[in-house]
Parts: sequence; structure tokens; C-alpha cells
Amino acid sequence: MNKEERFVQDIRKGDKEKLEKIYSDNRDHFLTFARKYQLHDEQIKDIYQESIIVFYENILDGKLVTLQSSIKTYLFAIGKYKLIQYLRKEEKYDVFPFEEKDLLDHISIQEMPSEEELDGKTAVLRTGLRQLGPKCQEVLRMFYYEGKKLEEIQMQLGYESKDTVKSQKSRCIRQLKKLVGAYEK
Amino acid sequence: MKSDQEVLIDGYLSNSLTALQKQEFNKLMSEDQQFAEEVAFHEKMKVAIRLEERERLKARFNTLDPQSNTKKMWWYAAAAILFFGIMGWWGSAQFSRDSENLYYSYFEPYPNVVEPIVRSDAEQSGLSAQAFAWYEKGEYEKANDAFATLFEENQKAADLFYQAISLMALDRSAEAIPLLEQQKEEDSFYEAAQWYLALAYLKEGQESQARFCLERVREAGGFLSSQAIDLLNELDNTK
Repeated sequence: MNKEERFVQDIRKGDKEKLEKIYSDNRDHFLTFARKYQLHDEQIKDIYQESIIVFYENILDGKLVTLQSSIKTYLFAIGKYKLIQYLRKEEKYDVFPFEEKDLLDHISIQEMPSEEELDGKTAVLRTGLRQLGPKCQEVLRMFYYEGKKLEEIQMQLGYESKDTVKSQKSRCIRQLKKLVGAYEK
Repeated sequence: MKSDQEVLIDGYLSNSLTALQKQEFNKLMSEDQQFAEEVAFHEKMKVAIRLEERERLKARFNTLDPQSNTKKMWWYAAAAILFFGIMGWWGSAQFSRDSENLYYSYFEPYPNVVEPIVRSDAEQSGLSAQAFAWYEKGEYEKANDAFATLFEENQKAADLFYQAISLMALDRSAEAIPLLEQQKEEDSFYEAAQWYLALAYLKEGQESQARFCLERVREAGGFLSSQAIDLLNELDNTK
């Protein structure tokens, strides 16, 4: 395992500082690169942040276990893809050539419905999630977003057993349902 | 819900069901209404968790970016307050505190009436839609920059107006004043601009200017006039 692969491993395990380092280290370069397409800095920053999130979610999904190229090349492949998507939507500019096609085959971009397209239920769920205690938020996030196994959560949060995590998770979901029910009334 | 059902649902969500489990899952989906509802709930919850986490990450990233000018503005504001304190202008400070309270109780960002956000509409792209999206989400820093660019490009009074409101929402009313003053009587936001101008002057402690604008709003007799009358009355009472 090379240095960058270890880096990715650490991020997968929950080392947010390393992700933040990647974010800061590549931001300026991406900004300079994307300014050529006459985008406003704020727009570029949005695109860049979304790219980092795609990059992160791919790590969580275990898609970047072995790196065929450097972290930076991966990140920029995602960033360029996102940029093209954005420019196409704008229908204003000629799309630039995209050389990293084969890299992207290893990356999945989870498109999420925009907030406006989501039904009210998701909004209510989000409000509910914020009302949960920090422990519950953490367990649900680790399990459903970070894709961690019950054993991993047990180890990381110091629970007695895997079953304790499991019942804690069920309890949190029940609590969330109750909160959601209360909002919907 | 039974615990083994939860295992099935979690396996389905993480794409890790065995062939046998898949069969069982599909069977339950078609036969058990309650189970199907449970699956739908879990799917929505997963989306909600993802959206929450993405938002949290973005907020975290924003703190890593080089500081923008807002922080500097705060220092200027703090320095200004200190200066007035030292000069011993207690009377004026007193007034400005009262008027500031009035400002905060009346200020509310003007609704977006230019580009209602409808995401499915293919026409809605470009900086203008983006600017209003930021504005509606309360990301006034971004909205301010975007409206400024738009105004530079198209010289539309509406963009200037919304830029001014974004600035006020950022507590930068002094910068908003010159922008609001550029609204002409024939512009559609003229009356609203006078109302916000009054608030901005109040915030800056310039009561007579504020009154002048409020009287204009009152005389226009539009939908803001009753608010203007209320505020004029309150100003009389704080005397």
C-alpha cells in the first residue's frame, strides 16, 4: 500500500482532517483551472465542494481502495466532470475535451434530487434528525452514510457489543419516527 | 418491526443481500404492506441523512476557506463603536441603540419575486437563478457577489435592489444605502427600496433621513405603507 492509499484508508476510517487537507491543498488549483470557463468564484467553489463530497462518498463506498492514479488526478477528474455537467446545463459554453474518461468508470456519482424536488417528507425527516441526541445522530450517520458495519461502530464508539449498537440504532429510528409523526400532525 | 426484517432492509439499502435474502425481501415487498412502508421510510431516511451530512461537510469546508471581508467589517464596526464610546457621545449612542432595535424588529429580507425557484423548469439556469437560489437559502454572501456581477452585466435595477437587501441581511446596511438610493421612481422596486432605505438609515443612526423615506412610503399608499406608519409612530414614541 503506498502513501496515498493509506491516506484514503484513513479517510475511510473517519479521519476528517485528512479530507480537509485534500480540500485545502487542491482548492486554489481547481479555482484557477475553472476560471477559464468564465464562472463566478462562488459557483466554482460550489462545484469544487460537491466534487470533494463525491470523492469522499466514493471512498466511503470502497471504490477507491486501490488507486490507479494520484488522489489529485481522481479529484480533478470528478471536478471536471461536475464542471462539464454545470456548463452543459448553462448551455452557454463549448464543452472542453474530457480526457479522464476511463478514470471516471471507477467512480460513481450519486446524483441526489435537489432540495426543491424532494417531497416534504424528506424535509420533515431532516428536521427530525436534527432533534435526535448526538449519540443517535452519530450511530445513524456512521451506519447509513459512512456505510460502517455494526462491529466497526461498536469499536469506534466503545459499545459493549455489536448487539448494543444494533438495538441503539433501532431505538434511534423509533425515536425519529416518533418525531416525524409529531411534525406531520 | 421484527429485527430480522431490519437486517433485510439494511442489506437491501447497502446492496448486500444474498440471493436467498433477496427472494425473501421481494416476497415481503409484494405481500406485506407494512414492510413495504418500512422500506420506503428507510430509503427516505437514508437520503435525509446523506443530505444532512453533505450540508455539514460544506459548512465545514467553508470554514477552511480564506476569510472573506466580513470579518474585517466586524472589526471596523467594533472600532467605530469604541470610537463613539470614547468620544462620550452617549446621547447619540443611546439613540442609535434604540433605532437599531427598531431596525432589527422591522428588517426582514424582501421575498424573491423575480425568479421563483422551480428546479424542474429547464429555463432556469444561469447566474440569475443561482443568485436567487442563494438569496432564498440565506446565503447572502454569495448572493451579494452574484447580484453585483449581474448588475454589472445587465444594469437591471432589480439586481441592484436584491444586492442591497443581501448586504442588509449581512448587517452591512451602510453599503446598501448608496445602492438603494439608485432606485428611480419608475423602477418597480422603488417603494420597497424606500422602505429598506429607511431601515438602513435607522441602523446607521440617521433618524431624519429615515423619517423622510418612511413618509415617502406612507404617501405611496402601497402595501408597505401601514408598516411605515407603524414605524413612524414608534419613532415618535422613543423620543
